[in-house]
Amino acid sequence: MSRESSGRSGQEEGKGKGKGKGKEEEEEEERASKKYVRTFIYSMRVGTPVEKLHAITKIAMILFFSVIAIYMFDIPFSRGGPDLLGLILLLSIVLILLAVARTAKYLVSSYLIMALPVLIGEFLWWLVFNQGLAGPRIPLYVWPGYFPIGVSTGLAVLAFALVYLRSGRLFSSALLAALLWFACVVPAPLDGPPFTFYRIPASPAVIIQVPQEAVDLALAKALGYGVLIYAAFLFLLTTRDAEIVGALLQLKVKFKQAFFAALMFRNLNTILLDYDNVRVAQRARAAAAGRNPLKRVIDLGYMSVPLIASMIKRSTEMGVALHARGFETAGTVTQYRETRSFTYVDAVIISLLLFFLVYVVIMGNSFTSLAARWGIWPR
Amino acid sequence: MAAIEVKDLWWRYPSFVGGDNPFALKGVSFEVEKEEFFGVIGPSGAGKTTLCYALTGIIPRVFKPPIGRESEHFKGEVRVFGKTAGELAANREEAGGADSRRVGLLMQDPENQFLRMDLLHEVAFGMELMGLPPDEIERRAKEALEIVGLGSLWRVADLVHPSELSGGQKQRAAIASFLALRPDVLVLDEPTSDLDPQGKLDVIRAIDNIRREHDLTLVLVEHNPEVLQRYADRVLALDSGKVVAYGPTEDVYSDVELFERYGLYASDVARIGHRAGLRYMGRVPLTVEEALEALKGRELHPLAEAEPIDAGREEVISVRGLNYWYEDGTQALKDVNLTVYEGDFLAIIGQNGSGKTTVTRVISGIYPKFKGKVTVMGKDVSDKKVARSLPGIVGYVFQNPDHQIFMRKVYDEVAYGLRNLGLGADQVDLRVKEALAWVGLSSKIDEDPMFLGKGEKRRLAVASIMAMKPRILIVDEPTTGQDFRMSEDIMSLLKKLNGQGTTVITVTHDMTLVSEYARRVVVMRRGTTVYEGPTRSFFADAALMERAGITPPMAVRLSQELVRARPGTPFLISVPEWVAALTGERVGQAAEGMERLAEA
Repeated sequence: MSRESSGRSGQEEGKGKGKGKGKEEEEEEERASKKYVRTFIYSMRVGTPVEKLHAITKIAMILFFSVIAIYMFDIPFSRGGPDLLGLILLLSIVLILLAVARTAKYLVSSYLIMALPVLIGEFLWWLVFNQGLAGPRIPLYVWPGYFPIGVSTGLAVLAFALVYLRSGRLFSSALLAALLWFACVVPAPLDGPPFTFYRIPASPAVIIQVPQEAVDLALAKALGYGVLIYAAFLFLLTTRDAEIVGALLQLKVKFKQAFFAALMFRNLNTILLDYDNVRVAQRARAAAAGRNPLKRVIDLGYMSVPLIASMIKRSTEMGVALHARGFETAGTVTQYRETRSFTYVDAVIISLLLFFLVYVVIMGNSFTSLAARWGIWPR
Repeated sequence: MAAIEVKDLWWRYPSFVGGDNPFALKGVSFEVEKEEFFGVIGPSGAGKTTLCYALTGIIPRVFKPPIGRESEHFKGEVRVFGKTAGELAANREEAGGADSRRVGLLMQDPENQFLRMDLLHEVAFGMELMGLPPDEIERRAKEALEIVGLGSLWRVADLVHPSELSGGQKQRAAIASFLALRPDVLVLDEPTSDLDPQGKLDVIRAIDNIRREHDLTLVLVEHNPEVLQRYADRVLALDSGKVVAYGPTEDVYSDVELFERYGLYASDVARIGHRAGLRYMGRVPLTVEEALEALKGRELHPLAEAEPIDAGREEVISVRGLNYWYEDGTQALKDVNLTVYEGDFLAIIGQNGSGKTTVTRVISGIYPKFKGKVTVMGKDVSDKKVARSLPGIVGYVFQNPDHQIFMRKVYDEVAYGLRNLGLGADQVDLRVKEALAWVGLSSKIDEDPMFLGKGEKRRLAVASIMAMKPRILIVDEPTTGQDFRMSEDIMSLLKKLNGQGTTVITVTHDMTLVSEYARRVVVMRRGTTVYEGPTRSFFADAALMERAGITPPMAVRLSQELVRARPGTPFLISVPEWVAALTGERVGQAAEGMERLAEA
């Protein structure tokens, strides 16, 4: 197992507990010290407004957000084009909710980053394959025909030196420096970025122009899929099995089916725990991070061996465990603290979602067009 | 009427790759009386877990024989309270077995039988399936947690995920979820293997109390001789699917030769008695009291010289003021200090959840975010570059071998770490063959590690780390869940490595092993170090052991009693020392003699 103890709870074992303190008092402290609770993936802070939401509300959020996002990026150009502003609004709501649930710490470290390449890929895909769109074309990329050596180059070299000396990672530092250099050079006018001291001539100048509509569409798609992905994360990061069981029970689903639905999500958590253990074991075999990225991908592949092996073992033993608790022969099942009540907050949120859906999808309103009409968004 | 009757039971698991598996149970017959405490012992692969499955109807209902060939896979009869547990296609309501709610089965690995995401529902789940009213569920859940010593977690039970518990707490939680069901028969398959000695006895005592109060029949698979000697009425010993002993606990345990033949755990006292010819009522002594009686009139030879713990050796690891917090903010280590010297054989001991594993993980660079000063070979571990180079210096063997097998061939498995270190093909080849020869796996070089036995996997894990030639080797719980022979194997392997200059650090609960192998111990309690020094001085300090919550091994308890009765006698801490003192051999000789016996 990955860790020997969850700290305080571990220390409560054995003799001599509760010295000098009342038992009640100690339990109270115990409860207060438990700040995070495990969810389907990673954990969330206890007691945030998002934690108190009903599972049905959270599922409704995913569904409504997804439907609205898909509708928004698919508005044809004949009817004003994708609703960029609306998508930005949706994405902001989802990200704010993630922050409110205090899951952001883990997100930043892994999922947000992992999802970014997908979104960038999405953007490029829709951009490249939509060259036939009508309307004005705008320059996307300008190659001045020479390598400008100037402030940007100095910045890049400086960044490389700093990062390399701090981290010792050659590849990452070079990549970062190159990106920085491009960021400085690409948006520059055709006669080169300011403070260019020397020009190394290379090939004729190139200007890549793309239709404005393709850029809008690609942006909308990237934002829209961002909403889809992060809304799903929001659900997985803030929900536990009992909530699913409870919600399905309230929807009159039978206990066993409800339990199985929750079990599928719960297994995500189990796989993540296994992943942690395996990763640590792999590191002990000198498969250290920070080496060449290809090697890291290959190492990731090797992890599948222990992961699949333990998954198979787990599923067999879980079958036995279910049997041993009398799952198969269970007759009337009672539920104990599975359900939670549907509060007025849940009702308000679902009403808002419904209103939003009607306003956008049925009434066909676009926030972008609206803002453009008010003059706060370019037409 | 007997609670459980097993008559001539044969079973083999269905095979999915062609050919038939050998029989896992071969004509097993025995009976368990109502309200009996019945022990089952046997080496790994003897068929203990399979027997548990058969007693609870898991075989043949979950593990089903192939249709049309039932009689080739399942023969004989298992009856629980007169009802057939193992009947095929039985009317479920009529059948005995686990799903009748009268028989509970607690499996070895608690991790894999957790089905929920919080402790509260984990304990409540079975009761929900039974259809108990909610207030009854709550009452029983609270009571069950208190019985197993997890009462203090009640208030947070709905927030604690089972994976956040320590190894010992997990097993306690799993036991609680079955105790709450109040079955008539409870089958426990090594339920306390991860618990420290004190915790083990506490939990078994609690279960035994329940047995008395609620007329429970108990079948316990267990390696620990002390637990069974103290609580079991009768014992069944299995080897390769056959019954090799069956009878009252005392009779089975006094047959030390049987234990040596099948590689079973005999108690310290029985081993001393057997090797040094102590007799109590015509058999070997089994308890400390019996051994004291048998020792009357026996002379103790003074031991040649206690092994010197030479000071002034080079410090290889230094930990000063180490603090560590888990990501949820709970503090796991508080101001830990310890020093490891070149060539040490050090054991880190302490109760479950005291922070033993966490310390070793910080030392090996696995947990990089700590506060304090930790140096390995004089280099600061908090430096990222140092941390990255640590796997070549500090080898870490994890507890679960399944998590550390990355390749589909034994050869590649050992080579994996070496290739990561960037060694050339010749060097890799040389080191792989050398390491496999060391652990005795040369003949398995082309096999798939997944299909190796439990003990072999464990040895392979050691070989994979050893091949990287670390100067320091950390082994987390080297013997948990292993039978006696496997434990001796792995420990003598570590001893051999240590003899060649590798510094060895083990984290363990097995005090018998600590007394026999470790020269120095670090004792942890509640996230901090409470003792660091020679093993002998630790075991000689009864007050300190009490404070640290450590139950000394039987050999030490025997010394405590003897010194009390005959002041001035030497304080002996391990079985080899006792044998040496009684027979006049050298300690090393005695230890080697025991190892040979274990290998035989």
